[in-house]
Amino acid sequence: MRHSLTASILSHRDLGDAQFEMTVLAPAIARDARPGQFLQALYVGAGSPLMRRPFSVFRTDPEAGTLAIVYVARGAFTIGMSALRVGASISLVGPLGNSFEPDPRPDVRHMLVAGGVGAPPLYFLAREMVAAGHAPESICVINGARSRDLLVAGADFAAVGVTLRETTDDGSAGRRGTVADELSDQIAASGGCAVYACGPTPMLRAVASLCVEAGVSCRVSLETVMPCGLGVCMGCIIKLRNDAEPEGYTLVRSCHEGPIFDAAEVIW
Amino acid sequence: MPDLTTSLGPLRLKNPVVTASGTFGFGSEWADFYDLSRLGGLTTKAVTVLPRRGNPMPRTTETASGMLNAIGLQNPGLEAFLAEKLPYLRQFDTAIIVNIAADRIEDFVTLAERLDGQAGVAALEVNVSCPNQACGGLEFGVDPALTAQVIGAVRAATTLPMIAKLTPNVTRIADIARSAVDAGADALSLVNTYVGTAIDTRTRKFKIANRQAGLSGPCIKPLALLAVWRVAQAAKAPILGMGGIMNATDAVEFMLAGASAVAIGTANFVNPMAAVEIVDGIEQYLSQTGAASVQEIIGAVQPAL
Repeated sequence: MRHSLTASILSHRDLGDAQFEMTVLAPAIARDARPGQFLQALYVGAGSPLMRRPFSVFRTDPEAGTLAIVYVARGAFTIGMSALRVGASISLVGPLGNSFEPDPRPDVRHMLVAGGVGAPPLYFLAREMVAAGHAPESICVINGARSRDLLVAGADFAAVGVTLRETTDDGSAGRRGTVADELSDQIAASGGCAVYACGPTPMLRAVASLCVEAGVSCRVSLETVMPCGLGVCMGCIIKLRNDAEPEGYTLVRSCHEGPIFDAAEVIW
Repeated sequence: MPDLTTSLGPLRLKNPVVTASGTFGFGSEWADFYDLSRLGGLTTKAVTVLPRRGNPMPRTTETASGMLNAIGLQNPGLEAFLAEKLPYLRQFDTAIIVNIAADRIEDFVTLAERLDGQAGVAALEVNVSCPNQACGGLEFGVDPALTAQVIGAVRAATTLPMIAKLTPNVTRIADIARSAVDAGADALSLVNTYVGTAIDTRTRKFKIANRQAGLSGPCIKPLALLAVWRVAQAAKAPILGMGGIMNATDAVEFMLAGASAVAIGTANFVNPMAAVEIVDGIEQYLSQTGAASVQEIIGAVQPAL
């Protein structure tokens, strides 16, 4: 069930490198949100944005009625948002979209592949999977960014006990290279894998083509502009392969049928 | 309790708040937020004879106090609307206004004939802001004679209440309005979006694939309000006023300017509860100002001096 509510900010931590973690009191959304789902957020403050912006849920605490998002203050919206103080309000609509669901096959190795600000929903997934009884060693997180300061949620992943591999384009942390390089090696080294990926589109394309070639199941969470987030404005359309259509594809709403899709179906 | 009922010619509304075409899908996405029966009416996304895939992405961008969109009328087409969308909408106690769009007069006629007599359809809103195939892509709605042709053809094809949705991208909107009324429009809805664009200076590319897009949101409200007032002075037909209405105060302004009802568009994206909050807000305004009915405020604006 989707909710529209005003949430009060309980904590707003500056994680350094322009990253922030905001925790809010929003019991209805905290109860219903699943990993990979997102919120449409709006605040009153600096810059006075008109339209909402989507943020993936980072973690929830249904008993406390709280949820958190992690974001990078980079554009006008997020920079304005980073100035909100504890006690201030933020308007949230959610949870929206579909979710990452763990591949049910036994003995499958779960590969969670995150690029930059794509990490929060995968942290939520890792945490929920471990809480649901998945062995932490069956989960491998590949967390990458251009450089060390742009890696998100590294310590949080480590705290869940999953295997963590980091990559940076410049080699300032972990392996020098991309998450796709690391994923390629991991797939080669282990048997049945299921891949869950979130990050910038070029990264997702690389991960998707790697998985399709290797015959590995891969779900990708797409990053698109989402004016409404509710399925009505048709501003976040993507193409999914569909041989039954004369044009060979179907148009779907990233916010409504997605944001998570089978990588083999996405036409990039 | 003040009387909220109003009408757009033969179309009776239980309250003056309607959702605007293209900002509310076909209603089902709002099921979690409120009972659609609370609305005075609901205008569907534009329906065309055949399904349309719409424009390439990117289709939208935010601008100062507004947004640009060039969706390109993506919709499932007339038959899918009747089979898959209308049965859902029919269950609500609200006026279902079907927005129809076409680039040929024959297609407007097909739409009007097929929708006439369909249970649950309360009215048609005719989108005359489409490019006209027969006139090299000139919009029907920028020319009084072309507007009259479309409205006259639809009038002959249906007994449903018919609302002509006017574009503001004209020199004298009152002329177009009179032409639509003379051709048989029962009511006028205005304004559609203002055309505009936006450019990314970093990439030096248009932010919208279609280049030209429609501007909506609070930035157009003063422009839309004046258009409504002007048309209210000039045309003898009730007005469904819209253009950047974000709250009940905005809605009351449009009614004071002469609108018999208002449509809520971009505000639905900003606040999913906007339309019903505006219903409540209008009622409060009437109570607080001692008005017994919505009718008392329609066109009641006074000179400043």
